[in-house]
Amino acid sequence: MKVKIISQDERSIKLLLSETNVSNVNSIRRAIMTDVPKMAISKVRFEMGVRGEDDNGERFESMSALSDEVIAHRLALIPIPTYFEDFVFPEDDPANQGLPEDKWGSPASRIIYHCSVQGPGKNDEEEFRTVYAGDLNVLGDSKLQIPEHCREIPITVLAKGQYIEFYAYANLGRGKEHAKWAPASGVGFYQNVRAVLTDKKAAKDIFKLKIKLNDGKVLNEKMFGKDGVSDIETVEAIRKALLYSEKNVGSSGESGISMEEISGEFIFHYESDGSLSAIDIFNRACEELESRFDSLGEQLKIALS
Amino acid sequence: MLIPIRCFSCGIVIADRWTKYKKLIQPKDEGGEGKSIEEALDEVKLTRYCCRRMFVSHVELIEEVAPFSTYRY
Repeated sequence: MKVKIISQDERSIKLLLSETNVSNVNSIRRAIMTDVPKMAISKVRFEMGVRGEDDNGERFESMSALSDEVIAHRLALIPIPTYFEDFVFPEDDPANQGLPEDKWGSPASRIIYHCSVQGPGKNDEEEFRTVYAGDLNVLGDSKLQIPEHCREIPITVLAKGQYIEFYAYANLGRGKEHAKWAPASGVGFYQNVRAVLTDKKAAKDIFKLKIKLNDGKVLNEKMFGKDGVSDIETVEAIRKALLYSEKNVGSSGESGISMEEISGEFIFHYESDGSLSAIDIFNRACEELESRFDSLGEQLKIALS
Repeated sequence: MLIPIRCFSCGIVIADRWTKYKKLIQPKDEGGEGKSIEEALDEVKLTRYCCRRMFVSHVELIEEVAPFSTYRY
């Protein structure tokens, strides 16, 4: 299998996979969704109670419009920066060996976040205060702080006389256990195609429309040449243009332009949630598959011997 | 109640764009940018229709509910 990056931005990526087949590409897709580990908050300890009177003679109560369970669930879905070299799975952590699960908690397998926010006071102008993901402070290395682009995620809203304080514990997990541990979304692929001019006469109608493609070029007969158009971005633009002009796509019917599948080539795309880079996710998915198939071979050897 | 953190269908984080989106669609005389919903969704880079419906169909009710859960003392 050969991999080429077609386009990439901050979080999403589009790859061209060639010299492969549907099963291999689909196994990578499934590995990305379910097998690539990442950090997510899996336990939250809320501090309950009433804060005594302050200088204004005001008391604050640990209440909020959302219940603790809902807040814990919202926290779990926030992307947490993941460093594979620094952390291990809680079940693989030597410090956790022989301990019951509720006693697990060594720094090698978890990150602790603390949050303490007080709602507006009686005399404050504002009625409400929103608690954001950026209010979570990591107890430890600052590189584990909530990523910059996720700091504006609202967690809850506090009214007058309310406060919230909690400790949140994050650990490594896999997407097959819970969606909060899935590092990417919108994972999909489709067969790569080339646009071929099959009927010059029929296509004249569509060329007359002078459809502009992404790069400003006008859809014309010349661009097709002998082998048709195989540049991925241009093919995508032609496909869209054909759809917009309500002509047939994928058959040499009305439009005179058809999409021919290129065997063994697939366009693969996904979006990282921000806890890992898109390239790291792909590499890790390949590693996960490799290790699984390696052990499968060993198991087969044992079974057949 | 409060904008869901992720899209129900595809799972991408959407809540990080909510504050910006609200500002974009707020009328100009109220301090916003007065953009249409379509323009605002494009600007916050929500391309798939599953994510777009999360924003379009969301009704922010938390500020209506929040005051009723306070002051027991």
